[in-house]
Amino acid sequence: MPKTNGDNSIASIKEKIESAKAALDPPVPDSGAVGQAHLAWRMVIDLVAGVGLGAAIGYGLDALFGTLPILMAVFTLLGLAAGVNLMLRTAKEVGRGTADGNGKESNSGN
Amino acid sequence: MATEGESTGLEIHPMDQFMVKPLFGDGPLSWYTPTNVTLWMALTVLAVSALLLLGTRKRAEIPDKTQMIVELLYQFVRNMVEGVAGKDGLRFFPYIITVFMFIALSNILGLIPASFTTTSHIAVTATLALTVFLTVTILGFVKHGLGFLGLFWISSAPLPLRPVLAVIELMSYFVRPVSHSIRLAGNMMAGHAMVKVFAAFAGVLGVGAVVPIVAIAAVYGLELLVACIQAYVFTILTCVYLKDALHPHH
Repeated sequence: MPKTNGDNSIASIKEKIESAKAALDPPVPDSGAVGQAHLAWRMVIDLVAGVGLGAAIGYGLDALFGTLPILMAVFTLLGLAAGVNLMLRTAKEVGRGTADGNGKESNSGN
Repeated sequence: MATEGESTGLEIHPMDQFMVKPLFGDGPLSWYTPTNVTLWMALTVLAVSALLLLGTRKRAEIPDKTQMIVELLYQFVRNMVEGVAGKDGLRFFPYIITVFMFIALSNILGLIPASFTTTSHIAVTATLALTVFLTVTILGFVKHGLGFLGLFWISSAPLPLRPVLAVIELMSYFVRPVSHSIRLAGNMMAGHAMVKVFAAFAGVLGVGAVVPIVAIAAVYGLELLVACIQAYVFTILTCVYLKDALHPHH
């Protein structure tokens, strides 16, 4: 490229940048679709991890106090509740749009 | 296990690829033994450094291809931190991009045939998740003192319900690092094991091996996507937890 038309070349580079950015845009909806899948996975794994962690904590406390089935049952249920709680929070984030990193972080109540 | 399958040739060992082996000899494993995990983690760090440092070495006004990639990654993570955790979360940007680059590149390096995926081990991902958990918890207490416990005290709920909700919130808080680590390791392990199973089928089917090979190609593409998505998910959840620590009144 000759040096004489410096303005011109910068303009053409800007154009190239814009077109490159536009070319980069199409993958976004694709990853968005997979993004929905990862949200679903996140909810499921939160739920299972909640139950698992609750059962583990309950079992540990039971082993400590020698009250085997009781605390385990209680904490498994609490873990389930915790998992549901996390699930609902994820759902709320999706509603607000913060889960995808483009939300405004409005902090509305609650 | 070796007694059967020798005649038919169908030997499926999908989990063999996750075995931790010492690099030199086969002595017992100690914490200081250099293993294939050590090797691939070191390679990951080298790859991250090479990409980020060599890529931006020229600091050109008009970036070349590598610098463009690095700038895109930088901008991507920065926007994510700022968008989710807010302006004051940007102080943690160096940490978060380190986590992101490490996970992304160890996921992607793990896709090289015959390599080792360090992020498929809970031990690795749990360490990453625990680091995030400790950082966020300590940050919360340093910034807000005991007021950070207000995160667990739902003041909008009726008073008799609050202790129960506090227990549930507390458990949710501890579930997060668990699911944080299981998600990454599980995704990595499942995909790689699946590729291995298909590969074992391809070994015995003769001409019919075309089907599993096509399937492997498809799964490989999916795995590449999953590798990036999981790095992204891990990072964005780190940002979400950071936001909770910085602004606990959610």
